[in-house]
Amino acid sequence: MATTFRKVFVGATAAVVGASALMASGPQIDSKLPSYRPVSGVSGNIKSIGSDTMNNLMTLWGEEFKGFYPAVQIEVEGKGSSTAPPALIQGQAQFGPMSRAMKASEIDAFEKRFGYKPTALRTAIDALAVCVHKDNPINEISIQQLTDVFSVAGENMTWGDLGVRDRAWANRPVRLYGRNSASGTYGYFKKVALQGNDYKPTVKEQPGSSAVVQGVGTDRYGMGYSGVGYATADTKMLMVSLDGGQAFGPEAEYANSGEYPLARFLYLYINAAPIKGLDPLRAEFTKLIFSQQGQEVVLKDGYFPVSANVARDDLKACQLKPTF
Amino acid sequence: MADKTTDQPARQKGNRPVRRRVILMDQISTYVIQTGGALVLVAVLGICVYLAYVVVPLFSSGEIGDRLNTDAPMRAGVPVIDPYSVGVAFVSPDGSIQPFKLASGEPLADPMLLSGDQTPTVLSVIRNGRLVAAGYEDGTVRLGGISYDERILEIQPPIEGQTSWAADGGLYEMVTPTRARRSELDIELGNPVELSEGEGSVVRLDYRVDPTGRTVLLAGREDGPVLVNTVRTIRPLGGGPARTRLSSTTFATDPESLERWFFVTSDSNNVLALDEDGTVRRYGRTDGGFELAETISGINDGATVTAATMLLGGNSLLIGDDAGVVYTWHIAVETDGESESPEPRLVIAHEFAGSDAPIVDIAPSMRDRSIVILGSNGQVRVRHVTSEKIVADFETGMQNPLHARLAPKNDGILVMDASGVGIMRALEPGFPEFSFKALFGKVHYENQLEPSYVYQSSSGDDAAEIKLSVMPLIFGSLKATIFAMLFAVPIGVLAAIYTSEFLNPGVRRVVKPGVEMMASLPSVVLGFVAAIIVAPYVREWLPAVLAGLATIPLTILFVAHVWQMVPAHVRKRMQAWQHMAALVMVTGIAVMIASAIGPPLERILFSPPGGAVEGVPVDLRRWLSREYGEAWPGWFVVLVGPVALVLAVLQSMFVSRRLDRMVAGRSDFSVAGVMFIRFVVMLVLTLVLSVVLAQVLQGVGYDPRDSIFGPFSPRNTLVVAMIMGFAVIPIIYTISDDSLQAVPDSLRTASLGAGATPWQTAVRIVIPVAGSGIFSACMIGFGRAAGETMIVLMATGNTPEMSWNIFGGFRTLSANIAVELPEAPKGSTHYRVLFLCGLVLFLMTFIVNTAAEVVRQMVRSRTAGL
Repeated sequence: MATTFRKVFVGATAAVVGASALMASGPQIDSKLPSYRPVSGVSGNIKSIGSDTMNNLMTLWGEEFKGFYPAVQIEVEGKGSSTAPPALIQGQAQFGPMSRAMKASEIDAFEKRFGYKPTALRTAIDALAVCVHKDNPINEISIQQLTDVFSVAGENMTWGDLGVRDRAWANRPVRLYGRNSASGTYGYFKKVALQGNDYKPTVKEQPGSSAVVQGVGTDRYGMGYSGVGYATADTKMLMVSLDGGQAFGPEAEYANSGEYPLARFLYLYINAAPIKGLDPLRAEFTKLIFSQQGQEVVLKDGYFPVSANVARDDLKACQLKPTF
Repeated sequence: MADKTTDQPARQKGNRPVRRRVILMDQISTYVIQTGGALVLVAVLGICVYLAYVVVPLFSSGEIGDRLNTDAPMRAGVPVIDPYSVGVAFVSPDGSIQPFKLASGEPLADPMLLSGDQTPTVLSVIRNGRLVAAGYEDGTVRLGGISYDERILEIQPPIEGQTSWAADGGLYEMVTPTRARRSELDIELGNPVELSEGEGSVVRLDYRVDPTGRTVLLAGREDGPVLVNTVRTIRPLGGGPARTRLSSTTFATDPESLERWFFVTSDSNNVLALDEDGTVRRYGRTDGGFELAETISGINDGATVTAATMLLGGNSLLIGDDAGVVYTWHIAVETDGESESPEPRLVIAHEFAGSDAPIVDIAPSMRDRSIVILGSNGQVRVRHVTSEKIVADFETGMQNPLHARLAPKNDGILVMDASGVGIMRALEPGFPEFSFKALFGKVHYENQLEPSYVYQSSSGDDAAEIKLSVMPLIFGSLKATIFAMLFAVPIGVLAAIYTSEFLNPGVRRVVKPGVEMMASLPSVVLGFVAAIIVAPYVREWLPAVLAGLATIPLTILFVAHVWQMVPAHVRKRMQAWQHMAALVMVTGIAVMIASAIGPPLERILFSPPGGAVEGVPVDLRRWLSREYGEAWPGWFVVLVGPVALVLAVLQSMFVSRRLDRMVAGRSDFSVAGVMFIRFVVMLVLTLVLSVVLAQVLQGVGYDPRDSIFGPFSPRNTLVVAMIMGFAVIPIIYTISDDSLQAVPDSLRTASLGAGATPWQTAVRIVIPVAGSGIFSACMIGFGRAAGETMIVLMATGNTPEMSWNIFGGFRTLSANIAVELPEAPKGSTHYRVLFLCGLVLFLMTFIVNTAAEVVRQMVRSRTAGL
């Protein structure tokens, strides 16, 4: 079902990608990151199963990779982060993109099978955006308000409860859009924005981020959350504040500084055996991600690039020698 | 049908014998069909058995494995087990820690102080040592944790016969023939921070970390107030040093009551203090600091508290008493919106009776909501708090047990006695989250006021409570099916009666395959259409859509009555196809009428009291979300249909005959005129009666917005009912039509010959005979709708709520399987619960279909003689 939805929204998303690339003139790629140079002897198939948020990202990296190694076949499946650990454990995929960190119980299951832990690559930074319809007068929201709106800890709320004075909104209930439970965005949002509380049963579970954005874009009283890369012209992203502090928008600067409360890494999990490390195919793909070209793709998709320090640590974690 | 082909071919005596080849072919086909039928049965049974095979292990409890260590005494203190259950470290109250190899009990290092040289005055070791807080004489506090540093190393050449050994302070364990994992205790304590208020050494400490990573610390010095500090650490994702933001709230009440047990909840808003007599005091955060909010008795009268701790997640208090009972308490807030200021209060969620021996220790699991309970008689019990399932049970035989701990991965239990001797047993927890009660019963979940049915199967972290009640899903399946059937049955059955009994066979030959073509539309396409086209349309034109439900049948009835007044010679000249075309046209007109009168009706019925407010348009959806308005217009909308039906039945029972006799012998036109008057009277009567009934219901105090109506959601049941109705209509139509056609023509001709009209023939003769077929058509339609996945998956929000609200969403069993199967690790509780959903669905449709078949057979045997 997710695929069908996606096919329809692919046009919309492509347009958005262009738009956000224009907007995102702020974030810069760390100049210490090397430019990727292809090596010989790389062939085979790459299969990735996992996050829907990172679906475009994986596809774009795959295309970039195919540009260097035309013989390589790439297949990307994105139904939600929770599909990544089972796929990695059963060997159905070499890469498991996840928009949240693995749970301890998922790491346990992996370790039980292989005897070592999976390796997490922090490939990009996302500022999880809280979005509303573009005409909605609201501009900012606090984490506590998000908890009240989305979770069972709060009552059913109207826009007036969130401080909207406009009569067209004030008395209308907030209609909630969210992701399906397999999604890492769902899990992350539950953990951070809902402070661990359960979602209200009335949060509509959409099969993908683009469906959430589409839902909010056509519903004047809707509110939803998605990766910042999915925002469209029909939606508005809210500034978010924490503990009564200042509110910050989902922008690269505040995501990098950690001031935007919903900033997170987008992870790529791999099965990197200790000592032995990665085979050339996966090693080259990993190196590509942590290169100028790979991080340019991140920018192009509307997310924010990672620093060279992060890249260096993660390359070391899967027994690759960083050259920078 | 199989039973027809298995009949022996008729052998006509005296005539030419049946050819051998025919008999042979007949026998072969009988055999093939019988085998095929048997194979189908076997396949269905096989599916059922497989589903059961996956589901059954859920009901088993966990298992206790072998003992993993020797009797060698280790050390007294709070045990901290390493992640692989190979090592254990003991933290003594004096702040020293010493690691041991668990299997042999040999020390890995000398005892060392947690914090270099200072001896703490108070120490708090939480969550298997992951969180450690130490307070010192000089009024400083240090926060940190115990972890294990692990690495995989190549061992060349491999050491013969050795799989695990201790060396240079670390533990080695072979993981492959040539590689070993080395793990070593790693203690990390932050810099000392002096408590800003009070004098003297630190005497009270408690420490939590909430799901967002915020640290909550309760601390107090000898002379001075108790402080609750929250520390938010902001780590720049781009690199660079972390910054912390600290906020501090003092205790307004006398801190003396924080004596024996005290805990700060992980949301940092409450502090719970517990005395030995079971008194629980809750201090709530207020603007002026923490104040005593309530005092309750946490245990049964006469008992004494012997153990207490917080459950994983830090929001539930576990109390054990000397009668062997364990209680769990949490804080719940009234969120109904009825009370003016929602006041949180302590609520008891579970009470577990055990053996009568006093409880010595309770410890939470690090992975889920299990706890291990240790009795003074050495009995150990592992229980899952949410599902109340007893995961495992065993006797240690210890005389003086002191501590029990679950291994970090829930794969072992360590019990220590006062002399430092421990018993480590392997644990296979099985499926702790599952119990029959958790699945079908109401469960009291954390932070909820009362038990409820909730389905929320996954989360971003392990501390969250998994909620696996399938009741909302069964409810969703039923809701979707019932509403879809409300659409599909009248349309499908009436259409079949129309085409079979009234339509020219030539037209019927075109219409029937046409309707059957509808069935060939893939349901994913229908779901897509529902989500992308129908849902926005219904949202935009809601009043018109609702009005259409009334105007379409009314307009058709009206035109039919008017048509009767047209002179007979004109009527008879009309061709069958013209009839059809006219009907389609009338329907079109009805739709136009609906869109014309929908908005005015909305204004009349659903305006705010005192008329519409300037600048705010009247909107049915706002009425639905209870912004204003009375209950009766809603009841009116609901009641019009049933009232009309009831009146029609009453009319045909009591008035119709008399009316027939009255008009007998009159001209066609006057008969039609009388009928028309009857129609108008009935219409007026329906409206009046509906309004009266609606007013009565409102007077009694019922509001439809509590049940059948509720807040409007664009992806709602109405849309699904329409589209799923569309998907089931072909089946209901085809089977109904077939069974009507199967009624022998002799019955029809006899009825018509006796002077009955085609309508009378249809209603009194044909439909009763074909009743069983029509019934089974409906039931097969029911089965199809219950199992339908793609339409509900795409056209609803898949919200597992339990309300009949026709403008709200739901989640069906089938959609749940489709949504969640990819994320469920094979063999996990979640995976098996999804199979259980499948089994429940299977049983539901199986029961409905069997009942339908039984009823059909009964009715058929009654009408078999015809």
